[in-house]
Amino acid sequence: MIGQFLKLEWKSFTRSSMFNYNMAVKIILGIIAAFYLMVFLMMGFLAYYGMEEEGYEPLITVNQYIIFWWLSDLVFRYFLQKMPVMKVKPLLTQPITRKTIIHYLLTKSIVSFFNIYSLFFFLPFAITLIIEGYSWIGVLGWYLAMRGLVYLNNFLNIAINNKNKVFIFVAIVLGILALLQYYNFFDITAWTTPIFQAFYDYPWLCIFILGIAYYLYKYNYSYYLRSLYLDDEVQVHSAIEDQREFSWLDRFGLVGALLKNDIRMILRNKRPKLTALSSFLFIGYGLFFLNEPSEAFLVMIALIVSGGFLFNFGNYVPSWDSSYYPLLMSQSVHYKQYLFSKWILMVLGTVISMVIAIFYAFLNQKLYLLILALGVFNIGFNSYITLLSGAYTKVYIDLSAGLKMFGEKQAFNVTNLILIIPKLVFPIIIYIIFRFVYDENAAFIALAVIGLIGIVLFKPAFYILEKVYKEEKYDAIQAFKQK
Amino acid sequence: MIKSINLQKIYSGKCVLNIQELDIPAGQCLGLVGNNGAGKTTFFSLILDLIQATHGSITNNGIEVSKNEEWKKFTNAFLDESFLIPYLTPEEYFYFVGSLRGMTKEVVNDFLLDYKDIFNDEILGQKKYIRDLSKGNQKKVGVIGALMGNPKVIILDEPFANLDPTTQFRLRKILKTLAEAKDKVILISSHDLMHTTDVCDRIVVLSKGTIVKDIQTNPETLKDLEGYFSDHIESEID
Repeated sequence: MIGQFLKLEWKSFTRSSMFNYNMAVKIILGIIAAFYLMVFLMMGFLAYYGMEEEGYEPLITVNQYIIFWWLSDLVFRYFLQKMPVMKVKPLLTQPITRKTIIHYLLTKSIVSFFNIYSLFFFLPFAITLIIEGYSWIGVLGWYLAMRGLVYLNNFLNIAINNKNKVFIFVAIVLGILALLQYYNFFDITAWTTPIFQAFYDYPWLCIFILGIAYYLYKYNYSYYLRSLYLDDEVQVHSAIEDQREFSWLDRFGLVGALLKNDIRMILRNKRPKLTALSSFLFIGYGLFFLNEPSEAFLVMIALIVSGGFLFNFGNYVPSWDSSYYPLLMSQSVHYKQYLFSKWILMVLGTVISMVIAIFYAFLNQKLYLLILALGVFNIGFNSYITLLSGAYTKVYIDLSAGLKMFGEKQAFNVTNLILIIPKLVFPIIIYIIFRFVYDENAAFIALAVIGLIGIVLFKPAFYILEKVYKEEKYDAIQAFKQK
Repeated sequence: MIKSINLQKIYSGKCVLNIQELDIPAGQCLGLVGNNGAGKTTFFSLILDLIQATHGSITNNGIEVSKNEEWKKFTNAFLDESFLIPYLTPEEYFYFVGSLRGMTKEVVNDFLLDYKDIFNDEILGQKKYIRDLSKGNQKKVGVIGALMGNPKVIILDEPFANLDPTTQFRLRKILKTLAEAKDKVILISSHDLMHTTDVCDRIVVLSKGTIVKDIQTNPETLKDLEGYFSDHIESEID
């Protein structure tokens, strides 16, 4: 039976549209993945000696940071790890026991990038420990506990995904803890380090971690056993809470109607909601780099802080509307109005980001000025470029699904890769040129002026966008059919 | 009103639609019938400029659909679920489509009053998103949405499919009333020969992309068509 499942799995993998994207992209992705794995591997082997040289006790030092790795691993999983799904509907009526299907689903979830990458650090590190004369039983216990944490996260994530809202809590707690730690207000590691250290001193303790992981497996198993029925697939989620009318948007006619629809899309669907939320988490990104000396890097941070929403949302115009694009294309909406409504939303998102980011003014004035200048730059320049790259992205988006690792794989294409240059590299170059020829202030002004020129050149920019969108229309409708 | 000239759609070497000439005058209600793969949906998608013709062109009220978007103002359609917005309630959907067609909320409410029967208290005021409605109820929302804004051209792909018998008869009545006013073009494709012959003044039969029959509806039409489609089976058996 499992063999049959694997065969189905293989077919759905090899026949997916993923295989159609081109060789160059595959190679680039491969190199990026290999690079990261190499980094982990090197860290694993060299971490021990590096720490020893600096006068730290390696195992204790690692144990200090385990808590952060563990929590951030959970958050990343929530955003990116795909839930173990299989097209179960056609199988439910076949002579296969539910138990088999569920065990298979859960076991399958173990084979995931998220459960493998940490091996590249922990395995070499553990081996080095033993070589350097640590008790091998202790190291084994500690190592098993770390593996246990990985599986614990794996199944905890499935449980959280089935019950929403827990994640926001975890994310906020994690963010606050990280900041407090970073600014030395409070040291959570003082509490957790001894716990992780205990797995080395008393190896048998790892049974607790493995036990919790096993319990979570059982928990998910019984959850699925209860919910794996056909009527769950067609279940009616009645009594909706969101009754907001947004009638203030009615004044803006057609564009207002489109905007209203976009706001509802973001509020009522998991995928866009997560996108918007994570965009605003980007605003806090700069907190970790307040004392960053490299100026080019500061420009990057300011770009992301002010433009997180603009990039994340704009990149998937028109794909957000993929499930009802034919409707929009046959109603009396002109592309100009359609694009304008999206643009307004991106501008609003940027302005809100700039306002929220005002706390930077108290922490690092230069960074905040940069955020303002690049905010204007984003509105007047990057908004158009992002909409342009969106026209070539063309990928069906399942609004109810979570985010995907590396975004949509089909979204990688040569045009989009090339468009990264004007989006990210161009402002950095402008900054550096004006910074060194004149001074910082001249660089801020130059970036803002380019943005303002872009806003003034609104009409020709939209003329070009409209043309591109019209040309791509048929391809887009076709691509959106491939779910 | 809608003219197709030398229309051809070719997918990877295979011709799926080939219409020499088809002229649908204003006020006509035309039924498109044919087996699966006959090219009905392809034809509708071409009229709505959702796909590009390989050869030839379609004009809607003198406007070439692939060149100019003005036809959208007086054309409304429902082909499949990609014409529905899943995360809206039916009311919000109707207000949305209405606002794209210059109808205020009050006008939309008045419009919806006429369709109280067909909604059968399962659509409006249910506090459900369209994605949580049954297939049949989704279809009702889409079909009624396609009648909004007093369009001169209405295109419906298989409007009767998935509907319960009572609703089918109600929809038939609605379409018949619209057709009798003789002020709009109504294009319907269907596998239900009885409903189609009852509603439409003209029936076009497509087979493998070409027009094989083009008849003005008369009392004999239903028999004619039933004969045609069952002959098909017999000739296949032979």
